[in-house]
Amino acid sequence: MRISAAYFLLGLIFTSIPSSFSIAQISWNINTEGGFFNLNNDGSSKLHDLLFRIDGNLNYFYSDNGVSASAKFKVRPEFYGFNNNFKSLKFKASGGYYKKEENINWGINLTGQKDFYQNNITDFNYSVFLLAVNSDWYELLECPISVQLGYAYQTASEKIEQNLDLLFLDIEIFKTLFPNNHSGLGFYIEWFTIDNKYLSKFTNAASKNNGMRFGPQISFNYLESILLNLEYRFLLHSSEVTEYPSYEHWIRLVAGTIISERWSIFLLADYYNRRFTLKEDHSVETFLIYNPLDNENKINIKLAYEINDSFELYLKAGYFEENFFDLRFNFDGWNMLLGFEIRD
Amino acid sequence: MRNIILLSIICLLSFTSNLLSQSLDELELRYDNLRSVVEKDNLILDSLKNILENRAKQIENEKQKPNPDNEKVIKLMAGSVSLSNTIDDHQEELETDTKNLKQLSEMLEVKYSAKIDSLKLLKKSGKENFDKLDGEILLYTEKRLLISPQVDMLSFNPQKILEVDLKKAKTIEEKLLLKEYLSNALAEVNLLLSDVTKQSEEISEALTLQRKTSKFLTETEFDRNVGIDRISRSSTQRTSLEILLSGKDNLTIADQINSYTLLLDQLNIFDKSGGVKTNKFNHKPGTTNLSLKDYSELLKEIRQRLNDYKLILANRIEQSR
Repeated sequence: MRISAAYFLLGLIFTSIPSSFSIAQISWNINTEGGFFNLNNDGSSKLHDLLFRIDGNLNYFYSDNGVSASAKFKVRPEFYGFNNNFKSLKFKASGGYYKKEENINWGINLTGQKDFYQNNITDFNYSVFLLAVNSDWYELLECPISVQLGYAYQTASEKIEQNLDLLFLDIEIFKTLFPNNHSGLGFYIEWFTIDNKYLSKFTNAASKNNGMRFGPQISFNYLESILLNLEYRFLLHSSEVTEYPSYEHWIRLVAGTIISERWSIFLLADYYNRRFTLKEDHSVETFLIYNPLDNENKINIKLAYEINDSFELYLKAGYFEENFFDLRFNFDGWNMLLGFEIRD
Repeated sequence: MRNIILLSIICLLSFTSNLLSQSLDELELRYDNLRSVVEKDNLILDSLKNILENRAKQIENEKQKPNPDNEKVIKLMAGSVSLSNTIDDHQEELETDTKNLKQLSEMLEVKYSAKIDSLKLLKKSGKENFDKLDGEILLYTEKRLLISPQVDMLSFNPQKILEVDLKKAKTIEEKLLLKEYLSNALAEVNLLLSDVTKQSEEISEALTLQRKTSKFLTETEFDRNVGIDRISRSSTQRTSLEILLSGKDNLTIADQINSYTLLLDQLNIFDKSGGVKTNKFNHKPGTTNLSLKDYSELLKEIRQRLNDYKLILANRIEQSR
């Protein structure tokens, strides 16, 4: 029901986006890539096969007199090997409205994503919806301040059947420390509720967990001939199933440079580490631990060669390690893909 | 009711078609008339403000006297109130006229640009006389410059430059002097143009890098699943103008931003009712409310304007040979 309402809202925003094409731009691109992937499931099974995917994107952008609006649609079918018959289909739609005032910029963003995963034995789907209001203040203090308030939820079906609702507030103040730098210091706080339908169906245990995450964050940006972005968050974690001290670290490094007229290279590295202490060391409670599906350690590299303005070849390599449910269920893997992009 | 709606639609359509079908000559005439009205309004407003200022001084002087003449003060104040109302009316009128003038200049600019583009296309096709086309291109480029806001930052007056005609020089000395004046102006424009071009290219490169990195992030995050707190924030999107304007030529960020504020103010491409307001810089480092993309577009406008001056100046010098 919530999902339907969310997509209705998203649809409403898209239809209200200005339809004047005189100052609007529509762009699209299609990526096709194929290669190998390798997956280790909890040390117990290994899988390596071919991976093939197509990525389609359609973007609409409108900008006039300090107002900008955008709509983005993304679809990606993926095929993991021939024998395994594992495939996935992902849809993503997002829309945004942004207004520039004299001393403040503000905007609203909506994002919805629906993923379907399927093979011979499983059929799993996953949805996320996010509504965020953001504002950048330029004259409040000596330095610009960015404030973001948002509501999001994710639902996962099949055996997990876990819903997560959250409300977050993200505040960051920016300062230039040296030439070409832009650094930020801020605070992040989030209130969440986890509702596990599976537990309520089959056990007598509590099926809900309320809690919050909060703590400082810092960011560092450098932009000249290379782009460097470093972010760090330390969040204390407080919930009905965990006890003090429970905390998490998240570090992100993004780097990119245009090596020559045609060559460019990009790197993304995420390190996530959590130390949760459970109030009761009972396996049922592990299903109520805060566990967004992508809190993973990963490293991705992309080397691209632009043949012309509308055609690009690239090589991508990635490694990830994901830990679920109190670190008891893990899997990791890597992939290497060769692809090309056609764009307008 | 239906008739009223029908009549309104007809009126609207006829107004729109009338607006669209206005010839260049008509627009130019309307622009010239309105410009003289605005100039006259400005003069009137200045003198009214002067009178009001004098009245205020008189009131102040009277009040400071040991035995002020209250009746005189009251009379002066009453006069000031009606004067102030008159100023407000004129101010309102001037604002409307200025707004209309700006709209007209925008319409003219579009028409001139379209004319220049079509002439250039015609020149490319090779069907018409090259010299004749060049002359026409030059004529419309001049006209476009004349309706554009002035570039006061330059040491010469661009409007005066357009009026210089070496053929009309009475003596060789005068011709040489004018030629030197034009050559110096061309050198100045070239210098400014190369500086703006350099900045524009640097920003354009940074924007490309930013766009590509952002795209890489989006596609990589879609590889796995959606992270709620990841979608909500992306610091690479937040990089602002000041990053690019710092550290050059040993200037501080504030100085850099100030120098560009000056450039923007003096080129005055976006007027006070326009989209980008230069006062957003506010001469404070770290408080720039102008995105790299906006700034890049602005630099492109400046380049276009300077290129126009360059073309005219080069042509004027060429004529002297």
